Amino acid sequence: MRLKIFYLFVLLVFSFCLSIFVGPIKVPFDFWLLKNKNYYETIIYDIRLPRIILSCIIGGSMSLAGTVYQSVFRNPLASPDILGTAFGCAFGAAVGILLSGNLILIQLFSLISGILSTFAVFYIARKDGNIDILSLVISGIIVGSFFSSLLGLAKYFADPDNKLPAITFWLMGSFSDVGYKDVAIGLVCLIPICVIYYKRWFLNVANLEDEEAIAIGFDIHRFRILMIGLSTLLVSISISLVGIIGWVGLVVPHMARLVVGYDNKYVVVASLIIGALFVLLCDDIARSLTTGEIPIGIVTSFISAPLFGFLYKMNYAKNK
Amino acid sequence: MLKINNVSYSVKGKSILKNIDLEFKNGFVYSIVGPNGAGKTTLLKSLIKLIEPDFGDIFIANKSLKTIKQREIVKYVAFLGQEHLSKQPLNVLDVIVMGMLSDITSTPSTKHYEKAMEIIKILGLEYLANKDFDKLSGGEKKLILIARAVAQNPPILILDEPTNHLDFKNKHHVLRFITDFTKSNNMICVMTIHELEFAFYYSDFIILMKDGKIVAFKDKRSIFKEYDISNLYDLNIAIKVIDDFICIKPK
Repeated sequence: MRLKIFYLFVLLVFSFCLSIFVGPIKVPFDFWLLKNKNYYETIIYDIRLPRIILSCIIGGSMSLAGTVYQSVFRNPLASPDILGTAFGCAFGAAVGILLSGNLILIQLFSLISGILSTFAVFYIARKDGNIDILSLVISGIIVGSFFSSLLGLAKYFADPDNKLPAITFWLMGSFSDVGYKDVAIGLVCLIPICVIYYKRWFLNVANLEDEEAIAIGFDIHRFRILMIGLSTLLVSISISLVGIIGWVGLVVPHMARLVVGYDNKYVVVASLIIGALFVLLCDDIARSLTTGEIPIGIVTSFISAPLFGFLYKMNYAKNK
Repeated sequence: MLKINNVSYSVKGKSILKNIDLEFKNGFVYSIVGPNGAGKTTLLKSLIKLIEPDFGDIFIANKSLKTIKQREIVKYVAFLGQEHLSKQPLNVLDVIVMGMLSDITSTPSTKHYEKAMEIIKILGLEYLANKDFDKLSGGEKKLILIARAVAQNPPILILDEPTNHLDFKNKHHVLRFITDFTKSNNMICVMTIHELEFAFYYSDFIILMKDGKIVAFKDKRSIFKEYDISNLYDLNIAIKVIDDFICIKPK
């Protein structure tokens, strides 16, 4: 199992290095020997490198959030969308774009709205201090729909020449304007990632029935709230930085399980690496397939949907 | 020592436990027998605070259960419920290691796995050690879950129908292990069981329960002499105890 994870990591490092040379402007492999070396260095250090780093961080974060959601909800379909987090973040960002174009403001609004939507989900789902799975899913749908309607409203009022395209494009997700400032914000994701990594084995225990988990001395309710809180933080940061990158949080955990099995001790690590790899490669495609930029949300969804169907069948056949 | 003091419990006005008074001593196995819906499982759940009684109190080693935190209870009591729906294809040892949860802060170490292996050997289940839990039969799952309860290493063992889904041999195997383990570690074992003959063979005391009340609580030899089981089940039953044998036949 450790060997498999090591191979995945090697693959990630290899793809990371290779991605530096991929894009609308081809960087030759021997660029440091050329006369216009400075030109290529600018492209690499100021444009590509922050973009590649951030795509890895966000890919890992979204996938990890998905893994955690699927474990604590005991539902293979659980993903950031189920909590309404994605729509909460999206609405906040749309308001930010409406009010001003300021990047920091957009991110702040997105973060606040995302956290607000999650708290709303908690408030609705909470019964006698406990949250059961079904009521969590239901309140996630309620809150998600509410924020998606608010998002529609924001789009309706947006200036169709200027703001509306900005919102629409942002909703599809993009790494195109990423700089080191964004990477710095993205690095905040490392805190929840480390905490989840440290507690990863307990995700196995969270998979037991509530009563059984409590009987072996596990405070499942507190753990669930902690894990959902951390994952939501990961999703909020990701979405506020680069928009909605759909399907990653749903599909990557399934890929990880196909590779390393069901023990969350390994699934957590594998989904971090595979998620980073997946978004990195999708972003490579997004920026190099055409002369312009394809929104990455379109690329990830286009690849993920059929892939998910395939994985679903594979996992089913494997467990039969 | 485990003491249940005048415990009552009701849900939506329907009373499930009515003034239960019981006292359990170390080194003995207690079987709770009674018809479905008698409140047996509820009584067991109250012992690990999965439910909180409306009245009365429970004492473990002279400590009120109310003063023990939910997370701390595992140090006193191991509980194994009836249904276990673990769908996760985890390795058997990973399941047993969960019994040592209160000892684990991040991930289980080699020390924990070694202890799990030790327990599995004591139980004679080495042949299951490398299998996936979800691929086991119902009986094998039960044995592994009992191993998990044993891994908790508590002074009190609470088992809700440890014999359900098991075949004849496995029933004996499980109960033999439970009684031996209880005796050799001077523990208390309280279990619910439906088979009267197994209750007779493997426990020291039998508790008869009906409609949320304790009907009788005696040592296994005198209980069948002094109490007519027919009343418990509303069914005519003939029971004969000859030395170490018990014969049960519905008339």
